[in-house]
Amino acid sequence: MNYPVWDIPFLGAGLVVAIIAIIHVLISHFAIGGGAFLFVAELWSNRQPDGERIRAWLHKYATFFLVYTTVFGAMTGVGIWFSIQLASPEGTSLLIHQYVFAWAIEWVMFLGELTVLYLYYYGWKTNSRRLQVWLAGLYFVIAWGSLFVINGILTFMLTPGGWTLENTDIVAGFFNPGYWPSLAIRTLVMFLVAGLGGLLIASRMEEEDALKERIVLFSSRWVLPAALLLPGLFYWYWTTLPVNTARLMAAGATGLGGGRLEVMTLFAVVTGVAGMLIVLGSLLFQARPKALTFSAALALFVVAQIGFLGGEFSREMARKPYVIYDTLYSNSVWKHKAAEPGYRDRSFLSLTRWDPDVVPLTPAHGEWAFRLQCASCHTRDGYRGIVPRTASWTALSGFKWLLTMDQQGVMPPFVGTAEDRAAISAYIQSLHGRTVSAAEILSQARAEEVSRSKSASAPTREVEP
Amino acid sequence: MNMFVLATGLWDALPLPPPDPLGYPVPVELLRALSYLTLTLHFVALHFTLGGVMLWLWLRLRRPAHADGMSAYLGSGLTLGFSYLVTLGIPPLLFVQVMYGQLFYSSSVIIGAHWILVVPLLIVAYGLFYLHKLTRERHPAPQWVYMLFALLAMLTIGFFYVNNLTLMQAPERWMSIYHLRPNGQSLNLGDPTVLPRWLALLSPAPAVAGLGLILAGTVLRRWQQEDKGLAFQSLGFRSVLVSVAATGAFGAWFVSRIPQDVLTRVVEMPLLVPVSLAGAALLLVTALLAGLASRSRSLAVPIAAIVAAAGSLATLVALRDMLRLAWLRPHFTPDDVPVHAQWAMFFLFAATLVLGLVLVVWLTAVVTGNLARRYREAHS
Repeated sequence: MNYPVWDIPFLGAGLVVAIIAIIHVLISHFAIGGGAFLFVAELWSNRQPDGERIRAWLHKYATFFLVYTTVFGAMTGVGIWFSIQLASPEGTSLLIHQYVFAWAIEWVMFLGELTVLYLYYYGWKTNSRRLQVWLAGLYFVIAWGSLFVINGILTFMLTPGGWTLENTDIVAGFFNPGYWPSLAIRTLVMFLVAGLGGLLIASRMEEEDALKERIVLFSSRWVLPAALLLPGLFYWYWTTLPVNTARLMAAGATGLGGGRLEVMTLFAVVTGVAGMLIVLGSLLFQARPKALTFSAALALFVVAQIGFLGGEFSREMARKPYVIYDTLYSNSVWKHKAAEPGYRDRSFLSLTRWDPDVVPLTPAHGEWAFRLQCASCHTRDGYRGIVPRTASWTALSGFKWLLTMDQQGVMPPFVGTAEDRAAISAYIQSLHGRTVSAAEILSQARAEEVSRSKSASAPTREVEP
Repeated sequence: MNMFVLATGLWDALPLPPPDPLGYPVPVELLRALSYLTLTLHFVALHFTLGGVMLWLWLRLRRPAHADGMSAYLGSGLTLGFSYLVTLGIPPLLFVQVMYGQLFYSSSVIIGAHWILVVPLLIVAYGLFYLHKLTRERHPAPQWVYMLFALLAMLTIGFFYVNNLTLMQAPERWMSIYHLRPNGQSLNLGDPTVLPRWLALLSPAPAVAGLGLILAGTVLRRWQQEDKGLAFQSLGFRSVLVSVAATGAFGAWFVSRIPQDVLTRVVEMPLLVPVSLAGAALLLVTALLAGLASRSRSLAVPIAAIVAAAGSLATLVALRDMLRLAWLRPHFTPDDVPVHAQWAMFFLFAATLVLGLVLVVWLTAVVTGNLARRYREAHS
């Protein structure tokens, strides 16, 4: 609550992060797996009698790889950094201050992989064969090193393990429970995406070309390790999730059987289905390599993008209601602060620094309390819109719901007085086009309280025999 | 916390978030040194690329002798230059977040809608440079359009950066701007330093690209391409002169717009005079060496000019930070932030950096040696 909230209408800051991240994550996996692909393909071409033709095809792969991963991958990587600052400055500050030198090491890796990639690509005609193989291998090692580093920070956010605000042990937070399964999953997924990239470039070759068949077979094999091992690895990852997250996901799966699908589970299912489609598609092209068309290869790439979308959303939802699990809520309220006696009952606007000194119980009070406490996750009527979510609310039910919203497991605790709750509830009613004053809500609530206490203290009438 | 803040209660009066409780991971002087070093390198790559696209468009407009050769040289450097300017821009942004995070995040959110536009603008500029690289021989006609839009994207990114970095040091302006537009569709346009600072930021660009031209011209002359090499050197030198004059003029305009109280605090800083003098001297030395290099066949002279230019950019980086410290003095000073040392991580980073740089420099020498040999063979 130290920072202003970027109150971006319709999208919300969270969706801005998601859009950039979903594009980036596929490309970043391709950027690593593609390095291994180049290395292995270089070795393969050396052993083939028509190695020069394979290398001509590989040059096309490398051109696509270079432009796609640097223009879109590197820039959206920077974009994630920009967007998380806007969505959660408090959380970003914690990550930066705790892991500044891990970020810095990742940057060195990035600088290294970029330079080696340029040396590989621009030295295509002048480097010796041995040097090219060596550069491709080195590129992969450095790029995977950057994954090794960033994976620690990413998994820390969901499973911080032994790290706490009191014990800010870098190693405990970095090699957290989710670290190893996540690293294994990402490593297999990046091979899979590299293979899909190979299929995409191979699909442009002439159908009659016998080389196309061999390259399709070569590329589609890169999907197999993921197809065989990912189910087990995902189960391993699931066992490391926080109890509340695992419970919610399991409840979602049970709901699936009953015809009700939790959003988090839905996204996990989307990822699973996308994975299966990719495996089936790859097997099909293993069996009939000549059948591969550009549209089919592109469709597999798009399916992979949808799979990443599901995975990213599912993981983000798994972290609810935190941005750093068990430490910092998504709306920048610290868990330990909220647990302090009396903290949650303090006037909310006195705890923030960013309201324009609004008069209590006015519409401006409700608008600013909503903005500073709710708008980091909820828009009014767009992404995670508050209007559709509160369609059945009355002013009084909303007032009461806010007090206990944390009990459902995906919302943070409300911080603020009854006046703050009344002001927000009145503001939400105004979004539905209904005019209710916060003072009215408060007096209704008080009247209800009085009548409840009266009925509780009234003598019980004896039942006549 | 700063005694002045404690005494005046300004901390409470302004919406200034406190520094992160995790503190600094190493003493602030070390963070500053890392920031200065990487920001200087970022500026070299930035000015080379920005100046390159400016000169490319000028060549297209005026079409002097050997314009095609110079355009090809400048155009081929743009993708690499852009890539490194972004990559080298990451660590200064990282260290500014460590040192001044509570200020930087606040101003970023206040101008959030513009700040996030930096990302698509980066993609547009970089994508257009690649489009140029991959299509310039097949489709020469529309290339100037690509370059023009790439230039506009870069200029806009720079403008948003200047807005953010000036706003982060003026917390007294935050509330009024944020309350007017909490959706982030604001800029810091009420600050009279924004425009001159932006122009002063851009003005060294033709000099750095010009030095690149002089160096390439020298190499060409050594490879017996006398006329072409002289054309490169001549345009490079003229760019340096125009750029040095523009930097001086916009720099003076910028200084004249700084509030008096901030200037008073800057003048009190002990290193201000030596750093300013060194900066001015290095700027003059750059111009002189560029003049010498434009008539020379020796590689040492243009390389010395590039080193002098990098040195003068380094002094600008230091002056810029001094000014920020003076601006922030009533509200915040990094000296008051506690240090919770992470030495093991720092040394791991330092070792990785040294190893990475050695590897990269060695491999670059090997590959560029191969490329140069092939080019010479092709032209001999």
